[in-house]
Amino acid sequence: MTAFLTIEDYRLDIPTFDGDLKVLDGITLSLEKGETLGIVGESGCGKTVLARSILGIGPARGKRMSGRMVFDSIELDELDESEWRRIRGVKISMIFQDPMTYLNPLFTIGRQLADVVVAHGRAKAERTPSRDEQRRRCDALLEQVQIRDSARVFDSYPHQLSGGMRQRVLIAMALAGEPQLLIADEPTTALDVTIQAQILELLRDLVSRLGLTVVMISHDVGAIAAIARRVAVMYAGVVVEQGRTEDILTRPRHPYTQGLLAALPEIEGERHVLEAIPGTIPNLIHPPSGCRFHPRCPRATDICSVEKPVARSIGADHVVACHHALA
Amino acid sequence: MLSLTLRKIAVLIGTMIGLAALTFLITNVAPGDPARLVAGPDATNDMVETIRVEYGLDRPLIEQFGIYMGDLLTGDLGRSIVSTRPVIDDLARYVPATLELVLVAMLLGVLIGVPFGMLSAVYRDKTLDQVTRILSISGVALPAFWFGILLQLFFAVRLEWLPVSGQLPLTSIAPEPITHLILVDSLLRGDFETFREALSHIILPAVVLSFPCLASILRVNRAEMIEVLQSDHIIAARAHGISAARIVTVYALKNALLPTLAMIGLRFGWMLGSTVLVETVFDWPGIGLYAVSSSLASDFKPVIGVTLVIGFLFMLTNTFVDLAYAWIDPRLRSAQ
Repeated sequence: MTAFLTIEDYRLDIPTFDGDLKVLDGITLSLEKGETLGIVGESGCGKTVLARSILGIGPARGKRMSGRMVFDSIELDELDESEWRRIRGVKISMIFQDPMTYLNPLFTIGRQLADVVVAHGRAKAERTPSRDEQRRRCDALLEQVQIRDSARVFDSYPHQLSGGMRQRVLIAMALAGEPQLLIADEPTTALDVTIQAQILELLRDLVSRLGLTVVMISHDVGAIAAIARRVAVMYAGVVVEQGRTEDILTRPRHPYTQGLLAALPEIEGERHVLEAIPGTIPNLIHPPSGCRFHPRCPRATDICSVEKPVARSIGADHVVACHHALA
Repeated sequence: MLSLTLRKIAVLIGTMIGLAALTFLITNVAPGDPARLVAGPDATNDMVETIRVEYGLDRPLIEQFGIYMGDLLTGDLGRSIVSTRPVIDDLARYVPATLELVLVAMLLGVLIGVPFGMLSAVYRDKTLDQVTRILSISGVALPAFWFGILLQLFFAVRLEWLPVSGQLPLTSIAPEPITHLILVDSLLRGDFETFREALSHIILPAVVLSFPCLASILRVNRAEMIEVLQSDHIIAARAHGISAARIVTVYALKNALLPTLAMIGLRFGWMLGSTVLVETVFDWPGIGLYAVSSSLASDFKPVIGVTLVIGFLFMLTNTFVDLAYAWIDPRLRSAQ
């Protein structure tokens, strides 16, 4: 099977007054059609920058230093704005973290949703749908995300809806163009726990029903496990380990992955002290030499500060970038 | 929205009463004996006392205040010593001219400031942005009287494109009043010759008056646009495939307009104050010129009248701005 989305040695710098922020350092990922990939990592590890770069809405001043992104044989880095409009929302779509700030506060839900419908119509070179047609399509979209009183929601402003409702609306917007690839950037992080479960359930249902390919980003390992069949673990702009979800969760091979999982509280089993990874995420203007994790790594040796570890296969669909991968 | 409007009007009335009380206080706290001022330098003490009784200045302050407020309610602002007419009649003559000037200047400020602020944000740090930056800094920095004289010298004296001063040439007669705004009335009456004359007269003073206002509207709108364009919902709109043009002119502009509106309200009051300078330079027959000539003649009733009118117009504008806020932002409408 050929890859649907390929990211090859992708490096991105963001110039700042203090120097270049080396946000993404040689990201290599690939995704097959219909696959669900989760990306986990702490805040600030570059997950969101990576996700947005796939849609060409990364940081405005970001500079691509190397690598490429290919989606369905389209070189994403070579698209201009007008070509992007035939991709965004139509082929690749995105849902976001905080549904309050990602909806425009001054326009009704209906207006925003209808605008998306019209924009996609234009991108697909269809005629502009009539008002009634727009309304019908919006209602269908809202129904698809299990909003029952679509009439009320249609005329509401974002602040009049609950967080869960707003996230459903954003999902409806993302699905309006019938995309093939859905990027979900922390879709449940800003929600109440009970609502998180509902939204995850809804996403899981939509993904299987619509046959979507998904990249889901989260620092919530549980949310990732609920959706993703494969997982990539990111640390400070580097993918340190990737493989099948059950392999990563049960047999992590990278010291960082192990630390991340050990830091999760467990409900079952005996009580034990939660283990935190010592130290903090490094400054990305002057990232650590060699392996970016070495200053915090319990297994670090001399080589770790000198040589950047190459990602190597250590089992069926299991890749790790570490000089001292755990057995 | 209706209850909000009513509440804003109530606040407006309250502030107006406060302003009236303040002007009363200032005139009575200010040094100098008003009776002696009215009587003139050569008056005898008897004459001064007669005037004091005639003007009610011998009564207790609180009673004077009551009379003052009562007079205000009936539109009695006293009589101007210079023109010998009631101040309210003078104001009725001069306010429309000032209003016309300020409205044209504000229109220029908004129609140029908002779109160019938007464009400067979109083309941030490009040539257009640099040009508008230089223009707006000079706009805020140039003193109005000096800039006015400069424009008069260049466009009126050197090039002779525009008249030096006045509202209409001496030979023209203002159209029969409908709104009392000459530009509007001449159009409504179909008198295009007078319209052209009035327009050519208003251009220079309106430009001078609007320049600082335009500059600050432009800068505020630019700064807001830059901030809004980086906000989450704009990123989301881009991700959903909404065109860049629509994002800028509809989605972002409406958000950026809120602080810009506040600036417009502030600048309106500032403009009314600046008419004192601009009307003097351009000999524009408005309340600014009226206030200047009255205060030079120590004729205080008109000065108080002008203060009240300017204060009232300023508060009225800010009431409109508040209502416009609520009209634009649904969160303000429902947060009542």
